[in-house]
Amino acid sequence: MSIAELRNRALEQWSKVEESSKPVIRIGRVTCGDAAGAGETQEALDSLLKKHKIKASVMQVGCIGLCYVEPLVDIAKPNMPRVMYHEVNPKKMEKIVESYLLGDDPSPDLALGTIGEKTIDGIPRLFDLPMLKPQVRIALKNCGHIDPENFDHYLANDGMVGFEKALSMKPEEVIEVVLDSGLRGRGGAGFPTGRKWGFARSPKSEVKYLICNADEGDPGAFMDRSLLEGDPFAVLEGMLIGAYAIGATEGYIYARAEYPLAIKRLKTGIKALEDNGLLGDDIMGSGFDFHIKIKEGAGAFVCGEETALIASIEGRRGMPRTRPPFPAISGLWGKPTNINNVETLGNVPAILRNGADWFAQFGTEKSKGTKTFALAGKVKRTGLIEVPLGITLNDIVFKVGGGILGDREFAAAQTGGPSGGCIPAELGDTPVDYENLARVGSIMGSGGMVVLDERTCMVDLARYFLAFTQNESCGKCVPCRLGTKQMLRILEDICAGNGKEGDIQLLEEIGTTVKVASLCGLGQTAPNPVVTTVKYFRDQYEAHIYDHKCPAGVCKNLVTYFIDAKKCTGCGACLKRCPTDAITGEKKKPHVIDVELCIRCGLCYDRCKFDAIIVK
Amino acid sequence: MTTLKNAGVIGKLLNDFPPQRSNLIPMLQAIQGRLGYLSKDAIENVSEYTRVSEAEIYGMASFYTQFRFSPAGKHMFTICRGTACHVLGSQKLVDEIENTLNIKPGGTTPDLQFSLETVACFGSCALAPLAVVDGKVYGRMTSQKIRQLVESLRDDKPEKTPKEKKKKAVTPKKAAGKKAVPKKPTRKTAAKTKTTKKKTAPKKSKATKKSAGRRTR
Repeated sequence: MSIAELRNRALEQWSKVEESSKPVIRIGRVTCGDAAGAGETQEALDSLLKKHKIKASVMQVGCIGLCYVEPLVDIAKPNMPRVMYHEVNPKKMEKIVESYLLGDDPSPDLALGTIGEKTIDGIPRLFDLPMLKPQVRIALKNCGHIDPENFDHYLANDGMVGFEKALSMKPEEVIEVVLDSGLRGRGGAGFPTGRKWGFARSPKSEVKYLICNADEGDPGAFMDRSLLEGDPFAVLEGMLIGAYAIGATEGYIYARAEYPLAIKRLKTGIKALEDNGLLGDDIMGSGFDFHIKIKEGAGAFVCGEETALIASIEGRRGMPRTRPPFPAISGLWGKPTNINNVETLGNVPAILRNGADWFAQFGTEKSKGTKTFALAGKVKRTGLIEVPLGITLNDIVFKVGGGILGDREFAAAQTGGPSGGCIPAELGDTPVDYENLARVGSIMGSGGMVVLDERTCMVDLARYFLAFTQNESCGKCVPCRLGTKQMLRILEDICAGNGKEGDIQLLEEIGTTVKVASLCGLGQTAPNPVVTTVKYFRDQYEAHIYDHKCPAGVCKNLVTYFIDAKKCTGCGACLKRCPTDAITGEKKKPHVIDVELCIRCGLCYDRCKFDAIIVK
Repeated sequence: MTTLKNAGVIGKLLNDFPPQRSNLIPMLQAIQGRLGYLSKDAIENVSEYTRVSEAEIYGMASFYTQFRFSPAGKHMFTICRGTACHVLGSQKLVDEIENTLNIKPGGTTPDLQFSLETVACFGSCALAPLAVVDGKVYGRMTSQKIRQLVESLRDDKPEKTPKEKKKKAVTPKKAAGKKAVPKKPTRKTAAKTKTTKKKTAPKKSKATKKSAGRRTR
């Protein structure tokens, strides 16, 4: 079958969903939804449908990105807009089924928003909500909309249009389009994708490889997981287009083993493409051969680095090597190899489909298009967002994210994970793009954005990241192996209250050496979290070293817990929880903490409902 | 193709893969998926099958955090130590398990009941802090919830103490609220109350209740 014939079949299938005479219920079933209890919600839904003998089709879809109100269920009744319900636990599910499926009341009080042209009184449009309004969805277009394991759904929603277009062009022309679009590597480095493809196109070789880097190792980042779980076909189509452009015949997806659902969906996707003649030999009679295999990573952060990733696929220790030769000349098994990030590939089909100019209209002069961010930490609305590049940090934190949890003070945003830095609140009007983030000492990174408030200790955070990079350092080059270790020791001393005069200068000095002399990106960026926190939060370091105080109340050795007698109701909750029996007091009378016995575990702080525990 | 002499479970697993070096990681993953860890015998088999020396296989496998060389416990607690989880207090979850089960990350209780591991990031940061217990993901975890989970999974659940019975009888509402993971008395409590178990005199059990409530953790 040709792609056009496949699409006709798919459109027929899709119209059954869109024009269904029975309600279509979409339920977000990806890792984050399941963590919030979407599995139980679906079980409840299934048994309710059975009990009331309701005819409806239930679709498992990807994540729309509103993780803070998971589990999400949306119901489309014939001739009505889709109504999205939030935080649907089994109890709420029962209410919704009774009111909207058995009856006709959409229960506006339980709904978050509507999707579609028509509206319902009392329910706002979902995409007009402050969280979604500033967003532009290119890579995440289908997430939450289609069944990610159903190829027909993908095809019916502009799927494979880009690939079809690419096949009608010369490979060089495809590269030209991607170059003109201004798409840059979304893994973090921001190298222009079109140029990268050009490098891999040039060398003559019978075998070339295209690798999709899905080894999303940054702690605090989940963009690639969401995209792979919500719309795996977009990434596969991107790989097809890339392989055609550079002349690759073999493809690999190097995915983290920690993402079992993403791997499962990719496997289903690859099988569907093979069954429909879109993967294999002589695809659609074009003479273009391409095969994709999945390689599961085994838990090593450094394998996100190109040459380490290649070593890992070859079955060796995942250690990077010096470049040149670059992988485009000599990569996997010595053959020309091109490596792209998941999100980069996820953008490619839309670029081919809509043209370079369309894509370039979003973003800034040098950073085109959109970027997905995993918005997490101490922000009200956590989730996966896709915003045009150039949006300011404040807009992300306050408009999209809704501000800081508990209306505390916004202190900083951490971008780029352990390779990035902390951007302080004063620089909140910084436009988020490759150049500006680098200017303030951070990096774009793959898209982790962790929001921090005044109760986050910046020294502790720097220590946390250093502990991570030190642990993940492969040990091949000395600056990284020893430098990160020494920096970590100093930071541990400072956090423990044993900081010395000159520690800050020493940190800066070692940091510079590690940055300049390390072999690969891991070491070259490892000091970033320390350098930026020293730069912007020097007072916190000084408070630790000279005053033996942790202003945020995080570093155990530097804080004291006590009870505010005015607020304490004497409920005894903290007393029961204390592991060292440090809290004493009579019922209904203010309790006290014995500082000598207190191990500063913070359990009483978490337990107290009256904010009576004070940390200083 | 090379075939293994003593083709047991591992032999069968290995025969799915061509004996190439590039298949080493998938082979070891398959073995660990089956056995729960990489045994000495398994590595010998892989070496024989792929003609890669055992030392090199150990060298490769020990590089990756996924592989373990000793058996894991029946219940696996994996705590996410990603950035978002860290700032929202995942260290407390680790501390809680360390204190309750007396094991460190990477460790297993001597009775092979529980293992504790940490992972760099699960990628569900919006629901931080996160714990994965026996493959099920739990979002927005607290140290209290994790302790209840540990207790609910214990094999040697002690019998209900009079304290528990009494509590339920007096305040049925409260007990129902906690139903999700019924609170089980710890060993300490159990030991304390053992002596009073048979005696149902209300006075005695009241005394037990107080002291038990104080120490329970």
